[in-house]
Amino acid sequence: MSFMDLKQKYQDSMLGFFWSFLKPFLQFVAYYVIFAKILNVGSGVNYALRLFFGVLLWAWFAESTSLGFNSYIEKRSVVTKIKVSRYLPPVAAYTTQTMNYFLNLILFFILYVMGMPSFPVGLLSFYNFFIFFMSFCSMSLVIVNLNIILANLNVLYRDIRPIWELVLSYGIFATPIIYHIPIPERYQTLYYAINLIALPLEAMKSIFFVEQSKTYLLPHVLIAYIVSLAILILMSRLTYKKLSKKIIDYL
Amino acid sequence: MIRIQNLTKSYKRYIVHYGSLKNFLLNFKKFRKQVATIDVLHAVKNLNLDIQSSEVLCITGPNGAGKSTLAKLIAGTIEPTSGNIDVEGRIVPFLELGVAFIWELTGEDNLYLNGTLLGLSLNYLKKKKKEIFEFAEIFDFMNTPLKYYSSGMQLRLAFSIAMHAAGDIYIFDEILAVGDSNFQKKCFDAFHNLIKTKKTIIIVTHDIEFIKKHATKVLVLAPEKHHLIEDVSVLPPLEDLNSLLAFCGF
Repeated sequence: MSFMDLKQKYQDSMLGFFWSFLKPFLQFVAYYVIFAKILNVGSGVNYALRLFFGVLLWAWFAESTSLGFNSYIEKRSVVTKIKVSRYLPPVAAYTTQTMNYFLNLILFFILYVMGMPSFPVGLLSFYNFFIFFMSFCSMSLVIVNLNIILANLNVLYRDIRPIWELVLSYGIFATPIIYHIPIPERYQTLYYAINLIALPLEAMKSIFFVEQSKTYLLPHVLIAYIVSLAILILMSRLTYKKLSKKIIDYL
Repeated sequence: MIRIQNLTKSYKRYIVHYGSLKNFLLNFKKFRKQVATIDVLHAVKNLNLDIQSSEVLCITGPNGAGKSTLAKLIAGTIEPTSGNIDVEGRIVPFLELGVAFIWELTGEDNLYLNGTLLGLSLNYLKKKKKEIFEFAEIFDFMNTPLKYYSSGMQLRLAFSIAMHAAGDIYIFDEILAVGDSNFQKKCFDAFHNLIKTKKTIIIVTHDIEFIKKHATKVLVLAPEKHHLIEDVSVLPPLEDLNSLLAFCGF
């Protein structure tokens, strides 16, 4: 389903898959001009590459969840006429965008190799692969579980759409993508427990950019993150259990 | 085999419109009371039924009696309000044809998409591709986007995919044949082949002649009532659905 959705997305498109790269790239250019050149907020070594990497990951998260919260309504004919697992539409929304952004990541690597004056020591170490894998898995868990919660709620309460659009519009400014967010130490635990994208995003950035702090090494932050992620998974399970049977009658 | 025990499917007759969030919060208690008093419609009520393998169950009844709801319940696309349905075997539903079709994609892509959603493996679909398109009589249009197909061609492709799904239980909701008279004959031949190969068939129909000819069991539904005829030989000569309803005492 994901593969066919992706194929359909770029069917009859002159630029095809390149659109999925162009969109975050233009977003990056806009942020770079405004924040680095005009407001002078974003600065530091390799700022442009760091910003671009952050924008790519945010676009992956934003587009996966945007596709995910509407997945039952979009795939109404499938879930109401064929017996398929009701996990399928929200999970397919995640895999569609993951395939899309995986290709973007390759383009980022090319730019990274071309743009970095020198690479961090041990860039291709096992430790870095492990951190990348864990961060990718935790972001995936956040997306899939959010998709399940939002997709179920969206069938019953159509207010979810404007609410989630607001969260995505402002969320990028509350996530360490455009600038460093100086979180006071006493609020760090709370911040990383609420913003479940921030920690894996910083962890991934720390692999490619030495100037990125390794917040995930702080035990209280890591524990708060894991607990918060576990709560999200539990909420998603409960929402699915309670609503997935009911929503078919409302579709 | 399918075992249905105390099956009930109910719907609320209407929903309470809250208007706005402010209105909902200010009148929360009033809305809760209103929701509790909504009348409930039982599309299927307390149904017990065993369908053995290789049986042909015909479900009939007037409009709004719950026939399609029951077909969807057995197919597993909707959930019962109470009761159980135990199914042994793979179900192929013909509730609506071509539901997962994407008009922008080619017939071949849609075959893979629809087929996998019906539970078929990609390898099986690749192996059967030629056969499926030949059955649908659209072999030359395999690589044509579905949006350029006529509605008859789309239905023929959907029917052909479902017919090649190799299930154990087939559920038809009044769709038994599609396309022109030649293709309809082909559909009926395929249907007879399912009977010959001892597949379990559940069919929603209003056609009394069809019931008399093919049914091994008949379930007659009327709003909030049902009557199961386990032995079709007891049926008197019937003219139409009304005479069947009268025979059942509805």
